[in-house]
Amino acid sequence: MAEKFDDDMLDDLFAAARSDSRATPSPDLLARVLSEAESLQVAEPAPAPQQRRSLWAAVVAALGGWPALSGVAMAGVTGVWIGVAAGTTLMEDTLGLDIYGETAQSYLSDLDDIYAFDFTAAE
Amino acid sequence: MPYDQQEDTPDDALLVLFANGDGAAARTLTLRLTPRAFAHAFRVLGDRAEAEDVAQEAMIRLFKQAPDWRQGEAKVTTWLYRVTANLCTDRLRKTKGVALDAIPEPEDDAKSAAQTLQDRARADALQSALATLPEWQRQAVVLRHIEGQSNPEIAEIMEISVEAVESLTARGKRALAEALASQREALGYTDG
Repeated sequence: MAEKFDDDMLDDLFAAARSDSRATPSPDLLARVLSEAESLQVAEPAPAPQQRRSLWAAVVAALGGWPALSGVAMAGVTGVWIGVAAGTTLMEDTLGLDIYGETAQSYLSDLDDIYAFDFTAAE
Repeated sequence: MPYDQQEDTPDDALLVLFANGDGAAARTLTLRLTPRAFAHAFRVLGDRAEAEDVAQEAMIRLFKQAPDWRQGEAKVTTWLYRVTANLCTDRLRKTKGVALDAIPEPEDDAKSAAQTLQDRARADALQSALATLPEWQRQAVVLRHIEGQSNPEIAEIMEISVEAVESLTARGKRALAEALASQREALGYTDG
């Protein structure tokens, strides 16, 4: 019985403590805490601004980056090498004629004497 | 995100926003959590000036923790109560006493003068009785019966077992009843 009375009294006192206005912070404290919070936010290092990408970098990126670009470069170099290394031999058979047609022999003769054979004379 | 849209935002999400420089999150966290830190410190220490220092320090530590806060690991309020309780413990060990006289007069126009006086007398009596409890009993009783934390939450805050919390609050309530026994009638409580 006494225990129940004590419990009821304590519950009532706890409720009085919860509604006690002295347990609420002053506006001054809230202002100080907010000021501290804002100064801590300012103190944090700002995220680094994104670097502006140059036009060349944009082109490289559009082609798929440096790995893709190196493939393109390699293909170009290979083409040049084939052209230089093969010299006139690629056109030795029928390739030159296929490209230039029957009237091409005068052009080919300008490139090399071996093309200076007169076809009409041979007939 | 504007301040008035953050009322339903969870505490841990607000901490992330704060860490990203959101000014509204700073305001929301300040207004939402400072009262809890202050109320606990005031009820444990019984001194507004001391409680203000503790609440401010606890909030600063929370804000500093924001960039490293790991969502979902702990409740923000649990973390804040733990820091506040530890700061109170430090203060109590330094001062070894509670300056109840330092409690300022409240202003409350909504209630009658008599009712206000009785409420204040009851709150003061409880505060005085709380001050007689061993520190851990006091922290546990305040968290459980005034601030409404659950026993598992208090266990996490105080870093003890739930059984230890139950024991502390039960012994604390018995000690409070004994401390207040001589004031029952003066406080308006009559048995029978």
